Amino acid sequence: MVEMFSRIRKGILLLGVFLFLFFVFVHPIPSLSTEAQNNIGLFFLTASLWTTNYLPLPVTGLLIFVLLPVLKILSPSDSFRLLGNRAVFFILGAFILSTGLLRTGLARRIALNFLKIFRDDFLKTLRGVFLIAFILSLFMPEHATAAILLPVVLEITHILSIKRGSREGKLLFLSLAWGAVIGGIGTMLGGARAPLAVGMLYETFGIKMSFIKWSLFALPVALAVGGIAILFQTIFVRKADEKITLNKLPEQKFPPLKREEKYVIIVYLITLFLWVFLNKYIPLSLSALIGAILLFATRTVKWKDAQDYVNWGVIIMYGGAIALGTSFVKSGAATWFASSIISFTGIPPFLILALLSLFSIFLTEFMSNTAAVALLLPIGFGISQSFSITPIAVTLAITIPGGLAFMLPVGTPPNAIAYSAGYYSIKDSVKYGVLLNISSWFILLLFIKFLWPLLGVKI
Amino acid sequence: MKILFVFTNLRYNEDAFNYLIDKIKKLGRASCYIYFVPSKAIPRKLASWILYMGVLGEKLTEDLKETLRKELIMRGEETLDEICTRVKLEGGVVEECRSIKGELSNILEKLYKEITPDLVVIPREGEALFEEKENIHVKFDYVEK
Repeated sequence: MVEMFSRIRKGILLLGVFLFLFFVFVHPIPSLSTEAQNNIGLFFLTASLWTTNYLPLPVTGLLIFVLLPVLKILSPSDSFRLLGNRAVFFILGAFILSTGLLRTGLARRIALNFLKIFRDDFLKTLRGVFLIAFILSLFMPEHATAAILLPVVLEITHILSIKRGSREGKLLFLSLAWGAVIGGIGTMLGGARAPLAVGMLYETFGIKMSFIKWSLFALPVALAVGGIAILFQTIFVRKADEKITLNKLPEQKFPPLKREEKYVIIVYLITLFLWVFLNKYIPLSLSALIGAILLFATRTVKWKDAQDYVNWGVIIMYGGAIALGTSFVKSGAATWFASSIISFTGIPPFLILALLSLFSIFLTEFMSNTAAVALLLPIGFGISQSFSITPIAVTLAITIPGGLAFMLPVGTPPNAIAYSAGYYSIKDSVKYGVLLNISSWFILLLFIKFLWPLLGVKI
Repeated sequence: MKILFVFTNLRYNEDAFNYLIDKIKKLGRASCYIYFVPSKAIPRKLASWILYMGVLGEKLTEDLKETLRKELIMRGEETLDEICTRVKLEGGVVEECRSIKGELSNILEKLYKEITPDLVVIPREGEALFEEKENIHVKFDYVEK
């Protein structure tokens, strides 16, 4: 298996390099400008690097900034300007906000207090773990949620004497991963995918999307998929498991909220207020930065904390993704690429969105979900131009399922973190995850067909 | 007869354990030296993957690594207790039953010199993070004088 994966990775990398060289140096395509052709070459190279992780994600981002001017797709200043995109600054602000939740211990306090409600039986405990992971991921990155909840869930397994490989253990850790993953798609704060997609949408088409508008589309999907996950838990838990109860847990008493924890709550509320009610006057990115600065001003977060809790290198990856996507559409490469993939006319837009979302779910299982979205969106934008589908629909249909990786540890860090505890095998996560993948795709299709038109996105 | 049994979080399987018990049963009496060496590979691999992917900051990654490290030590020590109890029940004499931190190869070299065992049993690596090895026909290595 390991050798097979290694060979596949090498194959993808070589194919990417070959296609890069082919489009850039070898084969002139009459209907394409040199910029567009070079852009397609760069796209294949980036896709192979992001799929195989041959280079760290931020380094591939840097490579994009180098190759865009070298291949004369964009001037150096135009290329570097895209790193200063509003999406990048939104992510920066959101990461600092989450640092406040993590550093003060507020996130852990919320989690432990929340789990107290779910002590009666094992099924409730599973739901508790799932729900707290879900809720926290609505307000902070899903991988940070999984990282802070892992010790809590391990503690639960020790107290309940849950063995590795047991059904209880598998379900408990899968609930952690699923909760974080599903919650992560609900708002723009669960990961970098949504802000990145909104940034690319704005840079390419000048279309703005507010925090609340995004949540109106994404949150119902998250809630519905979450409902399915809870249903699965109920089905998979045998009656016997219900004898396990968290009542064995010693009552943990917390000291009253510290001043800095109160500040984090106030700053989050202020920022949410700005995002929800004043987004017409203050852009999302500015509100996020105002929140971040308030945390520093109240001495709740120090710069060292922001350095410790956030991996800032990844910002370069997001900037690179936006630069690649924007140039891909503007050079005409996206339209050519889209028409090469789908050569038939008259395909219903719903079918196109269904296929795009299916491909997004598939791709995100094998690579970073942000990278999957960053690669698919430019193609999606091209398709939206060729088939006159609103770019908002394409953005949502790619980005929302792009976060739904349930099967493999490499799909998303919450999966890797939960898997690392050793309570379930890849076979288990594939077995349970594929059911959730299929269900979530059908749910998404229902929303695309029936809910999105009500929210103003006609298909 | 002196038997040295060394396992880690990645190197442990029932076949090796059963072999040890069978040997003790056959011999009737054996001096057993049983050691657990905590694997550093799992927390290290997860942490390096997370840092490589660029998703978590250093502090959270280190916390995660530490959580896993403690968990693995606890898990291994539980198994160590189970093995030693079973060996005693089967009539073996447990001369030493403890965990040792460090590199497996260095520890083995040191133990080999100190104990001069007649039989060494080391389970083979059967699982690893993010990769599951297949076709492991031989579940353990043993060297008998």
